[in-house]
Amino acid sequence: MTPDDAIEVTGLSKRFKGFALKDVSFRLPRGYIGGLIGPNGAGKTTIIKIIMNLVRPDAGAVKVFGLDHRAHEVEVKSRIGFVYDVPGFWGDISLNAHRRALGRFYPRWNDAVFDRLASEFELPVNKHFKALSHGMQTKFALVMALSHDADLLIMDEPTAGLDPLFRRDLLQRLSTLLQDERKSVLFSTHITSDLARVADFITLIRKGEVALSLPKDELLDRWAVARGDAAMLGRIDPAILRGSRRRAFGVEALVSDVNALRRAIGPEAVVDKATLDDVMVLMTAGDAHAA
Amino acid sequence: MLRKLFMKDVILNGKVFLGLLWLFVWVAYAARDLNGAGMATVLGGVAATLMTVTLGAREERFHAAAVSLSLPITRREFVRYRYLAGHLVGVAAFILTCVLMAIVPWSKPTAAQIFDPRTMMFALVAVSLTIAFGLPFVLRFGVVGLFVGLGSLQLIGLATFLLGAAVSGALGIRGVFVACERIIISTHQGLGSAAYAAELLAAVALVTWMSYRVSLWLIERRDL
Repeated sequence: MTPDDAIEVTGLSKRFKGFALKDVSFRLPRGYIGGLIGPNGAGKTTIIKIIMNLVRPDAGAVKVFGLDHRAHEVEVKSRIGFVYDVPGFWGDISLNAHRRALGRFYPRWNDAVFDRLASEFELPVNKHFKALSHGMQTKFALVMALSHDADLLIMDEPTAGLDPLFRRDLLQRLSTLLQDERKSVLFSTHITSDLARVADFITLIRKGEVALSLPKDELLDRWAVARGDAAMLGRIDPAILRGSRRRAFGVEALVSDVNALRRAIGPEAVVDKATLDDVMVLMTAGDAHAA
Repeated sequence: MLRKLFMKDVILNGKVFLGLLWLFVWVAYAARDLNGAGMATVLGGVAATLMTVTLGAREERFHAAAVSLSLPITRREFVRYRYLAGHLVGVAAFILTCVLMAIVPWSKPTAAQIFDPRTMMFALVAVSLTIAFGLPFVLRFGVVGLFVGLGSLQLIGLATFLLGAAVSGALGIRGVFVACERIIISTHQGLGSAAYAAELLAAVALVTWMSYRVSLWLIERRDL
């Protein structure tokens, strides 16, 4: 880990009944937005819960800002704003009471920021938490996470359940937040279009394992999808073939080097730059190929 | 940190504290017929149990345990706080009960009976043992776990009772209650001796410490 890493996850393993996280490693440099993508049940939430020390790993290590997340739990968590996949606040208590009860734990808690964000998000701060819609509950969780000047935001599916307008607004806020180079964001989602807008690094989780982890620009610049007949697959170097699936018209192949692909298959196949959607679908739902 | 956790519980669970007030209204009303020593002790234990169980139940109901443990606190601090808060509430309930019984004009027990040092120590023992038994279950398995634990104890008790009946050839259910009463009375009387009191308090402290270590071990392994 370099001193400039916000998160370094090394060799995480966790076994549950019917599911196992296997040797998960990735890093997020400070000052960047990292996205965890993968289908439901891939293990994204488990990884985030391990980082937050809500789940105990069977093996592996987590460092946040160079500090072991368990040995320096208080310091690490003071610097994290966390948004849960299912916000679990006290249902019969008002949002304002939550602010008073929970804000006191954070040394850099700022009531003025809470008030401003609550107003901008049109949150009814005197209402009970359970009276809010799911989208509003997520907004409240975001306000709590953003009100203590956290150096690292960790968000588990924050955009699920939000309307498109607010999703766009949230992503804009995350980009603005990153203008402060000390701040970093890790968020999981299965809405890949959100990450395409803002993420700097992508980590794809498939069946409890890291299928890929690399800068988004490298992925979008160099990865491609080729569409052609079944014979095309045989001409692609297995070293660059990362996933494929058979369609009615032929096959789709995901490759990690567009130039090598063009050299290999010639002009008869259709080649497009890969989107995050292509990457996720072809690497998780299609026939995945090892790197 | 403990103060922050206490304030968090006061703000987020204040309704629970208010919900316990009916107990004290009843105590004030019933003081004319009550045995001060016994009732004050029982009430302290009941209040501590209700608080312990209800805080756990509310966190379960709202799936809020993850929120609590994602705050900048360690699990060790969280467990330590729960033990301290349980004792605090139990002792506060006991003191409030004693004061109420002493000041209502129709109260049967005298102030001297109520503020008897033996009764106070007995209350502390009752509260501590209640917490020592209940908290590990609540912290690791939630409220359902506590009830499973209580149910298991009842089954063990029933089995022991039936075994005893089979051996002796008689169902001496009255004898069980008499034995329990004797234990309570002799403990209460024994607290008059400084040596006995010291031994009992040391034993309770040891049980509480062991319960705390068990809770810590359990919650360190709890996945949320």
